[in-house]
Amino acid sequence: MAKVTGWIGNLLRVNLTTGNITVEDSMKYKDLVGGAGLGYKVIFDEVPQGTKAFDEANKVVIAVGPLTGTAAPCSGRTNITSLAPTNPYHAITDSHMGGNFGPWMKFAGYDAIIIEGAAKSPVWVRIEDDKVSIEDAGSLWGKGTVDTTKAINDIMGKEACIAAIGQAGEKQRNLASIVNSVNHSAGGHGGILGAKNLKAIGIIGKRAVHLADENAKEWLKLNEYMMSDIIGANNQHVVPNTPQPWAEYHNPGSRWTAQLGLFWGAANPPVETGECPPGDKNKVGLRTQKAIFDLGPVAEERTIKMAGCYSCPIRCQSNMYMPELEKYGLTPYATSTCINYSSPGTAMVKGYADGESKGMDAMITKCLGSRLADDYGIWSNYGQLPRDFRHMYNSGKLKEVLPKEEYDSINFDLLEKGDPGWMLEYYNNLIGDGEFSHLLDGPYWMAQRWSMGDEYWNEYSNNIWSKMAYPKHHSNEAGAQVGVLVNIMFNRDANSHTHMNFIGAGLPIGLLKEIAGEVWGSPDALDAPKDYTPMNEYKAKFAKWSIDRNFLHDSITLCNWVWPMVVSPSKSRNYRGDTALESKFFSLATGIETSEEELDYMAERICTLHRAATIKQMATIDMRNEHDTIPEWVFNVDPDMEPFTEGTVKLDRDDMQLALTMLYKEYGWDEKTGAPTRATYEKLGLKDVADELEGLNLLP
Amino acid sequence: MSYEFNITGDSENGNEAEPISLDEAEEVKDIVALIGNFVRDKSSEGQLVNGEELLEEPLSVEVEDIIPTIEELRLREDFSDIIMYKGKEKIYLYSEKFITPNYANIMITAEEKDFFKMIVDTVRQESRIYPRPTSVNLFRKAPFNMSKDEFFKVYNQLKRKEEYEDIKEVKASNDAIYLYSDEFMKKAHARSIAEWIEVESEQNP
Ligand code: SF4
Repeated sequence: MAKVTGWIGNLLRVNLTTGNITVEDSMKYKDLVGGAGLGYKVIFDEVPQGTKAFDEANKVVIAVGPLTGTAAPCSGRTNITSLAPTNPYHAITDSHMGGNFGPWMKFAGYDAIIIEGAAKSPVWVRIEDDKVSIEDAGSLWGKGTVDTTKAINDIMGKEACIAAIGQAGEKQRNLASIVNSVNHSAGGHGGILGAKNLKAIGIIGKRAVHLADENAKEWLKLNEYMMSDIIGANNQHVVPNTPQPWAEYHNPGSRWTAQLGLFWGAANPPVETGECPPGDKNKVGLRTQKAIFDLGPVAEERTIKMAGCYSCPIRCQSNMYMPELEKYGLTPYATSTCINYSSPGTAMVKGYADGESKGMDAMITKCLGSRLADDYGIWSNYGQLPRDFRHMYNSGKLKEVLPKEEYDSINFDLLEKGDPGWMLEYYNNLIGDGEFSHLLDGPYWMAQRWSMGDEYWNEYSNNIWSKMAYPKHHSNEAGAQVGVLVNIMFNRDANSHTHMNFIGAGLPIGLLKEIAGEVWGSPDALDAPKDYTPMNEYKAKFAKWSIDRNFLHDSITLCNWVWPMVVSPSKSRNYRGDTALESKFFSLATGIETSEEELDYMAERICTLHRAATIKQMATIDMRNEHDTIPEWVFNVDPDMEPFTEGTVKLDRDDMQLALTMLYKEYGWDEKTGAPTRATYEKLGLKDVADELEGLNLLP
Repeated sequence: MSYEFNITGDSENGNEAEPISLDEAEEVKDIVALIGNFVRDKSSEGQLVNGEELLEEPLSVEVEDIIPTIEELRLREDFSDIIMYKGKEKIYLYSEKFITPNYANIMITAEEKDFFKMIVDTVRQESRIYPRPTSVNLFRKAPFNMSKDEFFKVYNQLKRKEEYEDIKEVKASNDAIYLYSDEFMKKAHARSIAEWIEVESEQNP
């Protein structure tokens, strides 16, 4: 048999009901790349239709791809696939965590771990290469992720990577996360581990991830090229956010914050980011001073360093020295990637005591909130949790639905005064057993329980994507119809940044349109921000490409907060990126020569499989009306303005239905229902999927 | 072998330069290279060179040699990155390897305290190419480096000048002030982008 490279070739299956632990060949999933693709197939094949997220029959698939554990830039993320308790249909979703877990899984010898069944009492799974055991977690139950991680590290050694749930997961809250390395969290599946009585997985291994023979030099060359010429800053922003001598362009929204006189001020000695023009690969890691981006200038002197996931040169995780946290019983440090700071900030619905949105009180609050959320394993649902709290509190509805005794017991004075101590009150009550904790049910179930009306669903600033009840994530404000199409595809908030990274790259619109023309066939694929035009086929191509690349990244695995490389910071390339980089790394790692088009085709297969799994679980093919729904606020925002006039993100109902049709057409799906046809399944090598759906009467 | 050539020869205008010998020419060439490298060094630190600096140590170019030497520099292919810009009172040099023309333009207008031009050029350019309105806070950053008071003093005068009547103001909901040129952006558009930058982008991270 040919040597497997890139992938490991093994899949670990742990059955918590029977205690059986088996190793299987993971290469049967090779055509689905890995990660999300592998997860979808396992759930589609093995989890019966109609299963609920917390049922014993549900499974959790932790999977990575052929680039995980290699030195490909930004390849350290881990994909987790399961049914989602937040979804009205308990449909399939992914959660994603950075940190080290995925690479460690490869080093231990596995491309994926399937967790199935449920233990009778709390357990944790210990994996040391091929030594795998189920251990008693009685003493860990009730602990937060920090103490759990420490306790298991004490047993396995500090080099082991621990993924754990906190109290939110144990209590089977819908908004619970799985957290590795203390603060890299994957949102939405923590409660499923809780239902399975699985507190944590500790993993360590000694294997290498091999590249295909003879490819090491080519790999280094490719890496060098990407690092020097192509990669930008976090979100692939390719211009700095202040004017700089070397830069033709700048953009105030860019995460490329590096500049002269800006420091990691709490490093010893302090480290100046300086300017980091393209061409010098050793400066890439200094470009994103994310602490000041998230927390404002006060964060500069508290920044110890920027850290991040395994094999990531971007380093978007700010590590902070915050002695103020000791007052709240915590160690004086805080870290965050993504929106871990902004979510606690939103819960300060009355602002901060010092009146500054980016002052010291805000920074203390956000660091404190971020620590508590990670320790309890609470998922913010892309910031929807604090928006729900804000809505409930400001509307007076919270007072109505909470028993008087409970309401009176909560110290809302802290909130009213803008005191950072509100964070303790807020998170402790979320994790408590009172009515307040039902904010963690997520919008759909919370709205049912508390009879939320139209004002909750239809208010633009509430951000709820009805009727699927997840928050919007780079939707109508991000590329008009393109953003909306990206948002209808998933069963949770769309974790797809492909389109937004391009739109927000910071380059002038003329240049972006030229590049859009080269990649998606016409400059008309892209509208200028808030200056929209009616739907066209190129927008459908842009949307499909964005969705497919997201599925690809979650499968291969690469960080979609940076990839793909549509643009670059290189003036000498006229800011062109390289959209074939994924396929080049894939080919070198696996030894399977694969073109960009071929890899995109695999991504299309993964996307269609996700669609099939959704159809199966929802038991309907009418995706257009039952799944791909668009909230009212997309059409109602800015009441005084017409769609397609400058200054609004408002869209038109009929135009959006046309957009759906065009997207279905791009995928070869039935244009009436939006369900893939048998011919499309078969073309993509998914005949078995079509057969099963036919048996369920779920083919158009 | 004796060899003669004309550095600045502009015979059409009857402006003939004195012929010089090879030895003298090499000396001039050395100075040319020295100036070129000096400009590059300064540019790599984000600074312009103005003509007067060439008079000083270590270059010590004679006043009458400045123009001819710069002309020579501009003809040299190995220094094709060196750009000369004639300001109101001074000549400025920079290397476009390190400084973009746009940035140099801002530095020069700031240096010459031509604040109207500096603000208006920037606002028009941003409205035209991105398109986006420009935060007034931008002018407190390098290379503008204006204080808040300085900016508003200039801005209040600018508002009264007819030639700048395309420059308009909008406010985001947090009261942040933005400027735009109505030659390139409509008010509603400018306002909505200001709102995005100031408020909405943080709610959509
Ligand atoms: S960009 Fe940030 S989230 Fe993505 S891999 Fe790098 S450190 Fe992790």
